Amino acid sequence: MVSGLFDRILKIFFIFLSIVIIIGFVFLAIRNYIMPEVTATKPLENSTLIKKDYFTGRVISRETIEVKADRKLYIEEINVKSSQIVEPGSKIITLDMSRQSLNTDTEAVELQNQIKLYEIEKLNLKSQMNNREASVQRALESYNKAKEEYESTSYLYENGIVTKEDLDSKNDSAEELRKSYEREVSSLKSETEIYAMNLNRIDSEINILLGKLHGKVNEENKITVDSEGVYFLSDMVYIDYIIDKKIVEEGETVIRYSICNSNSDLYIEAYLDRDVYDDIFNKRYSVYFWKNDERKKESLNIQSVRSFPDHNELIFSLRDELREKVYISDVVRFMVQSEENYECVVQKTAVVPVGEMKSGNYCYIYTIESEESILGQINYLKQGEYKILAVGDNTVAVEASQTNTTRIDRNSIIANYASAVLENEMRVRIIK
Amino acid sequence: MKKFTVKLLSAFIIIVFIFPILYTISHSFMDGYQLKNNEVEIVPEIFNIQQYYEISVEKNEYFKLYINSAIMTAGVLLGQMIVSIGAAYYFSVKKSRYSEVLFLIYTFFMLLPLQITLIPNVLLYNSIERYLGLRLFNTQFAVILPGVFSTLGVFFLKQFFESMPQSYYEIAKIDGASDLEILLHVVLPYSKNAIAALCLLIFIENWNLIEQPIIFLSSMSKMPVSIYLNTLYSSYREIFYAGSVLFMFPVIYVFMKIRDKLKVMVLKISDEGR
Repeated sequence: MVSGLFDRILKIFFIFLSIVIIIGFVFLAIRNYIMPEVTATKPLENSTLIKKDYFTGRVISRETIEVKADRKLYIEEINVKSSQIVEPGSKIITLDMSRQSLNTDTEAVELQNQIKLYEIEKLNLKSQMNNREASVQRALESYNKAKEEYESTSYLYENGIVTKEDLDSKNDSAEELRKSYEREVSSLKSETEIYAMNLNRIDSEINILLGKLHGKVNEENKITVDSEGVYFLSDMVYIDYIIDKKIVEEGETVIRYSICNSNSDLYIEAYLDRDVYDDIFNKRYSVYFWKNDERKKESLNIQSVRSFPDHNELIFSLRDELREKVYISDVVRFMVQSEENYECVVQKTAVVPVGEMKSGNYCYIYTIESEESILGQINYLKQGEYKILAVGDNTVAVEASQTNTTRIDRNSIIANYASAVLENEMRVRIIK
Repeated sequence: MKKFTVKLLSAFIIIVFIFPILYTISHSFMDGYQLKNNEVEIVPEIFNIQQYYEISVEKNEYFKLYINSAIMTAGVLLGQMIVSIGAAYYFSVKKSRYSEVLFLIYTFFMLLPLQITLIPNVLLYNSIERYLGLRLFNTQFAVILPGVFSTLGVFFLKQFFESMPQSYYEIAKIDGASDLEILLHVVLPYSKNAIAALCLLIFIENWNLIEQPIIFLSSMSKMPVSIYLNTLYSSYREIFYAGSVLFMFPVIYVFMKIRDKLKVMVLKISDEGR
């Protein structure tokens, strides 16, 4: 009985061991079968890094017109948007005329009427002055005539032709006309001063009104609306900015636009990443640009670039031959291409960046080491931390971040295109 | 009193032989914590199969060497059986002056310690590689070939074949059987137990190889489990006992399977001795 029990225990134990061995073989086979596969690469023989950075910009005119509210405006409707090209005569904004204090056209007419009234007043004053002057002239003529008659009568009296009474009568008449003339001159003098004062007042009023009228009618940087309160522009314009409020305070910018198809000085404005910006200005690389996915053959002359470092902003002045190919508001794509030599350049697909793949960041690179083990010649990964020096189109320049990090030389084999997430000391199968 | 002494001695011998096996099996069911803290304990505090799980699922490189052991043992076993049966038949049946001398030389080689033949074998392999371009060193053939030509099997089977009644050979010859037919249809069926016993001995000897792999193999990947156990003990103590049990398993299993045949063989040899 004891022997039977022992045999049974032994049998169970053997079955257990057989199962363990079978599981061991199965898992060994699976582990070898599902081993992550990587392709092996080496650092590039030619350690030249071709770096291409892309960014977009917009063609903008250097000449812009800014229109500010010269009074409080009540906007009923805004008919355009920023960055929009508007055909000539299109509605820009419509003012709420029921709330608006003045219709600017009516105001102009009133101004003109006032000017006319002043002009009439001025003419009336002038007429009055002319009348006064004529009256003085007439008094002078009467006095001179009376004086001549007196002198002729005096001659006749000395010759005894007329009596003394006739002479005295003539003398009284001439004296009376002289006094009348003197009164007229005196009156004219005072009236002339008043006239001059009135004339100055009227002229100044007219000038003020003319100034107002001129401002309403001629200046394009003021809101001038028609009788329905519609503000429009007579040119085809690119709206750089349009206000988005219904009530605009005096002095606020309502609209900023530039006139399209003009001979204005065009330029391309673009905002760049800091490193691209630095590259362009420190290294002076070639810059190409596309419009509507069509690459323009000409590369931009980097010397014509103006920069605003605070905003990482570039402004490319467009040369004449390029100006024919771009228009205001065109979106263009730039490419900055550079070629630079580095000590270690590897394929981008072999780099696992920590965060974003950009220069200054760190990355992991897995070198493949071979070792003789109980499983034969095995390939395993060795993880190293490296600093990204520059990122090219398909390649990355790196350097060891720490002194104990494995240096990548021309004989190093690097894991590339991994079929799984790589880990340090992971066994891998190298595929061709 | 004498019987009691014999029984006591027998019990002592059994304990001495059985204890290491039981100790290993018992420890294979201990967890790593207990193994680390106290290896003197025999019974596991918590019976678990953690070691077996780890060795079969997580650290299953062990089984790569298990395959190596199996290949080498099977190679030697198969080769040695073919050579031994053929040679033993020749020495026992085809007796001549030369065969006696040849068998004497054969027996002499059996007496040589293994260590003496190892270095000449290395030199032989180097020569073969140099003159024939056939690389044997650091291959499993380097271990299998000397095993194939081991003299133990020849000696063992010759003695057995000679003990066969001569009438069997004579009847077969009268029936017109060739030597090969006599060997296959008369000698081998008669010698099943002897061959089984020899297989067990060859299996045990080659499953536990130590010296030959160390000398002839340089890559760890080609070594048998018997070599790896030492590494396992020093590096992966937590699975060593399970590894040892799994290593013992084929030997014990084969022994259990053919122990009856071995018993018959032993009884037969003892009968003939009387």
